Amino acid sequence: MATFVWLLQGASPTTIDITDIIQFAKATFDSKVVVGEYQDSTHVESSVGANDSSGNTPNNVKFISQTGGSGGDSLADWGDGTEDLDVILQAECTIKVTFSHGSAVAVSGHIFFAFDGTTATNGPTGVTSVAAELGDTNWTAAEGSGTPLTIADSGSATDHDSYINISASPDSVGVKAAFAYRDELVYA
Amino acid sequence: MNNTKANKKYTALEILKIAGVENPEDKFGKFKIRIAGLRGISSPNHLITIQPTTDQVDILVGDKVYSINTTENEKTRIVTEEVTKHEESKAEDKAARVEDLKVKKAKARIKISKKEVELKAEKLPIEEIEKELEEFEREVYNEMFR
Repeated sequence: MATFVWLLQGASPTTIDITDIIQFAKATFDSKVVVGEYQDSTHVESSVGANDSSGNTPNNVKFISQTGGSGGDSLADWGDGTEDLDVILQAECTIKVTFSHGSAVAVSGHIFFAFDGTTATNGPTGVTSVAAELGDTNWTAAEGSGTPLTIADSGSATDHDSYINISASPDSVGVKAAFAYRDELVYA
Repeated sequence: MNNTKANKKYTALEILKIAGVENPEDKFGKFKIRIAGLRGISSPNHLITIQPTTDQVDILVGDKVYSINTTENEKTRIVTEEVTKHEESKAEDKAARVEDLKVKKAKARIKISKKEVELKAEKLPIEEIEKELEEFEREVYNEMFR
């Protein structure tokens, strides 16, 4: 049987269940991000509004610029100041997605993107969202299945871990509910 | 592929080099390449993640199989090379034996044909010619293929 497990990484990982919300906030849980700016903290919020990642010191990787780094690399801040995106370490990435299968399978066609929560081809509403896989030099504007973040193929194994950084900025005032993430892959 | 077995991305070319494939750059687009169960690899820049739980990566290039042990990579590469050399040498031996057999058979056929011509020239009865030819053929084959 095939399963996905999403974790928000941190001092301790927090499982992101299907009904949970990944909350992008200013400095603390539930604090609001200014329009046009990117989040300063990332949290897991339960379906009833509880801070599930409280006490786990969750990671946060913030978009700084698309090509301002050395050699045109993107810049990001994951707590050590602004750095080239491609020097981030595995444990510093925002989320870890593990695809598991009872027998060893190879994974290809793996994509990750933000969408409106209803139609995969639509980008999120009222939000600018970017994503990057561990080792990527630049952020990808992964909005809708047409322009996804492409994740490297993975050789035969029972567990396939992907480390992904996500960052988002509100385009307008208000809660952005038409905003979800989706991971798709092919296994054989 | 180092001993830390980190979740790391490699290009297909890097993996072929680690596996000890000769002239790996020339293989893409010309040979069927399969790496760790991933099929249809045609670009040297194809990125592949090797998961930390993976102990062995099998690689198929054409009809040759290579293997990388992600923890004892160098040792495995040498073992793989030796196995490949042994298989190649066995294949060469077989081809040489087949060629040798073909030559011997051709020589035998020529000898038997010459004998048939000689016997017919002696105008012996057909039954006698057939009997003598049969004996001669047995002698020739015993001599050449024993």
